[in-house]
Amino acid sequence: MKKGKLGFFFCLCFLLSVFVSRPLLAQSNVLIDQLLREDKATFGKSAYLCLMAANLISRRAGVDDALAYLEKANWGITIKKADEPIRLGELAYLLMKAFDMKGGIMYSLAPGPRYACRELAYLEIITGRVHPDRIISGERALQIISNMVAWKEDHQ
Amino acid sequence: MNKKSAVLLCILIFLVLSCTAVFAQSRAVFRQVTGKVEVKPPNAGWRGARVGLAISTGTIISTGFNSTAVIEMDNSMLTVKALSRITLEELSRKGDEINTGLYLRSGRVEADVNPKGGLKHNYRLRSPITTASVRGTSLRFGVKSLFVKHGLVVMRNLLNRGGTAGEGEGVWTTTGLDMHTSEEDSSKRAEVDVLTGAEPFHWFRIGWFNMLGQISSSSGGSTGKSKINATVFFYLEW
Amino acid sequence: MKYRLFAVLLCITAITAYAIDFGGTIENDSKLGLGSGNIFDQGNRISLWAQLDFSDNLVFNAKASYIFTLEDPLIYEVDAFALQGEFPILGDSPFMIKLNLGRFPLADFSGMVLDSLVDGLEVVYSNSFMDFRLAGGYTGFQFKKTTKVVLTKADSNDVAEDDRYFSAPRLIALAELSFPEVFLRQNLVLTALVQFDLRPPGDLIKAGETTEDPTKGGYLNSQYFGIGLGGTIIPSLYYNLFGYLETGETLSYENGRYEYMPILAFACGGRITWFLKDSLASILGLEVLFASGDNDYTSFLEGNSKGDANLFIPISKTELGVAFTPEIPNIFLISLEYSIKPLESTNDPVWSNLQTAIKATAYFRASNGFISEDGAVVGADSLFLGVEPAVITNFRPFSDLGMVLSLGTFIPATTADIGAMAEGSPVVFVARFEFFFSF
Repeated sequence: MKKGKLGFFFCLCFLLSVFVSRPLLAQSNVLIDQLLREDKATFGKSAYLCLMAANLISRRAGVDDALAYLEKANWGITIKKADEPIRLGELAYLLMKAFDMKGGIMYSLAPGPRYACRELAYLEIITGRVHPDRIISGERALQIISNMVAWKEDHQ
Repeated sequence: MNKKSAVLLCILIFLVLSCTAVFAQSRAVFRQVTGKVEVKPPNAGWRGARVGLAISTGTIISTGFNSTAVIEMDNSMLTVKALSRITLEELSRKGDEINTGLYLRSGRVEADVNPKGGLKHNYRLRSPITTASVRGTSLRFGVKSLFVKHGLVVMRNLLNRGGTAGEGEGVWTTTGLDMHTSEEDSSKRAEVDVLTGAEPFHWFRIGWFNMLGQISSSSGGSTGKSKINATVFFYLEW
Repeated sequence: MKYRLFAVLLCITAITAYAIDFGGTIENDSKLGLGSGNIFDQGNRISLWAQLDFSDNLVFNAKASYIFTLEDPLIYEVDAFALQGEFPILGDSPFMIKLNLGRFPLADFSGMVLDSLVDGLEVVYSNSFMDFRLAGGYTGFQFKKTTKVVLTKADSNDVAEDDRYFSAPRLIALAELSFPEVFLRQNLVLTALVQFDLRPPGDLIKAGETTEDPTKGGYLNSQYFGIGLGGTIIPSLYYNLFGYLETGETLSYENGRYEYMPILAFACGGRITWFLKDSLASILGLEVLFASGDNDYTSFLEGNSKGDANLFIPISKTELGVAFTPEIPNIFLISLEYSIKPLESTNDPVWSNLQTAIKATAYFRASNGFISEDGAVVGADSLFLGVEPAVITNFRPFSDLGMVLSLGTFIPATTADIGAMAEGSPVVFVARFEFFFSF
């Protein structure tokens, strides 16, 4: 009887570990799926991916945690609501801050979306039209974050 | 079972085996998984990938941050880099021809294609704005660019314009409507681009101005820029 | 009232644009020359630009500059004021139409014949295998102090006239057909350019006049037919070639009488470039340029005095070299250059960008006639002008800051030796520093 109960207990632990961890593994992928469907990339998901890419939030974190991190970090970024669209300059600035990138002279003097955009265009992380006020699609946002990750990998 | 049924069964088995031989199902198998790698088979949800997992056409492979995956397909190895999302669109073998089709939604991959034993491998890498046709090559492919390590690759943009890259060369597009070939991936010039995102110079001009060391206020090409050139560029463009 | 309307229009334009970007640049170009009289020249340029995005396909560019030099403290120009559109039609047979309307820079594929601002229209049709470009523009609205279009004596006289503000009125049309990777990774370009001189008769010398006046000239119309070919020889080894035939008519003084004579001239050139990527990103290049001259010219501009005019005259001026800076007409040169990024292997984000090139150019005349620079002896037997070794260092430490230092020495070959330069021509050393900053 005791052996049976022990066996049941271990089975329960195993099942719990499988079913609890799976949602966490799939969470970022579900978010990426949602982001890819967005014609206008949302601030929350973009911020979440930027911070995850830079290892600034844990793997268990969600969009709300990412926004809370931004509040606490005090980077001078205008923190929008999670479902508000993000502009190209805002994404560029988020990436520059998250990855602790040093920019050029103007970015050092006046850090913000405008010069962050130009820095990333110079590094060819952002290509094509480089207007900081442009609202971008989820696909483009993901490509830019992905380019940033690749650039960091190549320059480590 | 009577004699008639046995004959019919033999014919049926023969037909099935023949079809299998002609339309042999190629396999894609994970050979290495580092970090968080997930797959989403058709009509199913996300699940973790592991070494030895075989995937079918229509499967989406997604790598997380600091994660990579190496997938072996017929005569080729595909390395999926971090934060990439790629779909296995086609993987089939017909006679001595292997057809592989991949769709890269974001991120980048490295592909090593080595057809063996007289087999012809039609390997196609696609992104939202480009298509690269690969034969017997090793290359790095991103959504907007590729860099060739060995062999020759043609990349086509949305206008179906082809740009060829050989060993050590790259091809890229900014919007999918232009096309540039480069000896190196990029080069940084002394002069500062005034209007960011504007098109680069016509390729002939780059060479002349730079190689002759000209320093003149020029408003070049069909851009809105005013530049002074006095450097040597690394790349050619058209 | 006109200005208010213009301001209102600008505001409406800005409001309807859904993305606006703006900025500026500051440039300095300082030149110190030693040899034939010591010269110090400095030009400073401040430019402001704006880009208005109306949609993914339509953008408006505007840019204006104020230029200050030691010679002239008041030079200004509108460098861009154009609507640019890009309209792709995707499908089974995809193609794209690109438009440029307003003031924009227009150049031919080689940059040797035309590279100038124009006010006009450019249309480019692109499909999978070719680009077809048609452009037309007018040069008469540009300020004379910044123009590069100086083809006649009248154009040159405009510079000295205080009551004249604008550049010579010319109409330029361009048609260009290019075939990228048409065969074996080779790119082919065919082009035709036409330039019409729209200057009113006014002070121009008329055909038939007999009194010679070297200070005045006539009009000059010209046509150019060019071909370009270039591409990969093997990976890392590239080449390009170009050739132009020029026709047209120019004022000539022959047998005591002014007449318009046909122009028949040509220019050609080529370059081979070898990229040695693994050797600190080295590049080795060999370049040749030839532009025909005419022994019968009595002056560099409109100097034809016998038969056809064979001096190749491009539409816009292009200067060659560092210390010796002749224009293209009647020049033949061979240049060898090697560049390197010595600190590339450090992977330092700032210093790895430093690039240095050494270059040696041998200059010749194509004929015994005039070149644009003083010092060459017209009629001397030799065609050899001299050599110019140069060192050019290019550094871009930040995205918004760049600088170039060029050091060149022109060693003339004089008539006392084997050359065509006047005896006693000095060795000229020039140091030039350029600085670019954007904000």
